Amino acid sequence: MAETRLDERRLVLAAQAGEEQAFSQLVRLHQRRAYTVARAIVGTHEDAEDAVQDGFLHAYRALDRFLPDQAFGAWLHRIVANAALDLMRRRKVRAADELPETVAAPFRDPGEADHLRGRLGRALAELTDRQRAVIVLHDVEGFKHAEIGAMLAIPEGTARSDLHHARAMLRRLLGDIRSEL
Amino acid sequence: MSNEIQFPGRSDAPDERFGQLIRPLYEPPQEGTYWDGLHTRIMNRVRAAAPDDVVEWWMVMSRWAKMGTVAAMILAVLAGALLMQHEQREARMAYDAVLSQPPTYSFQMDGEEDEPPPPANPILRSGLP
Repeated sequence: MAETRLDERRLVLAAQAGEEQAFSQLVRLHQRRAYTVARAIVGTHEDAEDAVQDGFLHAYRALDRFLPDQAFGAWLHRIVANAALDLMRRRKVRAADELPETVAAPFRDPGEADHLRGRLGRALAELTDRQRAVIVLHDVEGFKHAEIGAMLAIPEGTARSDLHHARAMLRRLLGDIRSEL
Repeated sequence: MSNEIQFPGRSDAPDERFGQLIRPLYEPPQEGTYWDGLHTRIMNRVRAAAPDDVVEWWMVMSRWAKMGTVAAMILAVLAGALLMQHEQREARMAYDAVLSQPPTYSFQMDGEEDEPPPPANPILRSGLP
C-alpha cells in the first residue's frame, strides 16, 4: 500500500515535470474510480464518461498546483465531481429550454426490463440529485461523509443529513420489496 | 423468519443492503477494452490541450496586466524625463534673462530728496578756455 503511494507520488512528480507517459499511467490507475464518482452524480453512463474526460483534462491543466504530499486520488475525485456537477448544471439549463416531453428520465437503462430494477430506478429518481449522489457515493462506493462533503462542496453534516433523508425515502418507497437478490 | 429487506437505521457505516440494491444500476463497465478506449480518449483530449495551447482567461488577463505595467512604467519614465527637461529649460531661460539685462538699481531712502547736481568748480571753470 505504502509502495503504491510512493509509486503514485513518483508518477505525480514526473507528470508535473511534463512527462506525458506518467500522466497516462495516473489516468489508468484512477479512471475506474473517477468514473464511479462521476456516475454517482450524473446518473447516466454517457454523462459519466463526459465528466470523467472533463475532470482529467482539468486535473492535467491544474497539475502544477497540486501538492505531491496530498492524496492524488482525493484531489482528482474533487475535480471529477466538480466536472460532473458542472455537467448537471448545464444539462438542467438545456432541459429547461427544451419542451417538457423531451426531458429524459434519469435512469433509462436498456436492461431495465427487470421489475425490481425498474422500481429501484424510479425510487432513486424521487430523490434530489444531491441525495442520490450522496447515497450512491456512501452506500455503493464506500466514501466517507467528509470525502463526500469535499467532493460535492457541502459541509460534512449536510452529507450526513442527505444520506439520512435519502435512506428514509428509499425505505418508504421500497419497504415492501422482498429479498430477491 | 421474514424475507423482507430490513433497512437499518442511521449509521456512519455504508449500508450493505442499500449498496446491494443500488449497485447494479451504477455498475461500471467490466470489459477491459472499454477502459482502454476511455483511456485513449482522455489522453487524446489531454494531448489536444498541450500546455502552450491552454489559454485561460486569467492567463490572458495576466499577460495584459504585465504589458500594461511595462507600458505604464515606460510612460512614467518618459513623463519624468520630459518634466525634468522642461524645468531645466525654464530655469536656464530665467537665469539667462537675469544675466542679459543690465542692473538698474536706484537706492533712495525714505524722506530723502533727489540729490542736487554738484556745484561747478570755479577753479576748473576759470582754467578752461
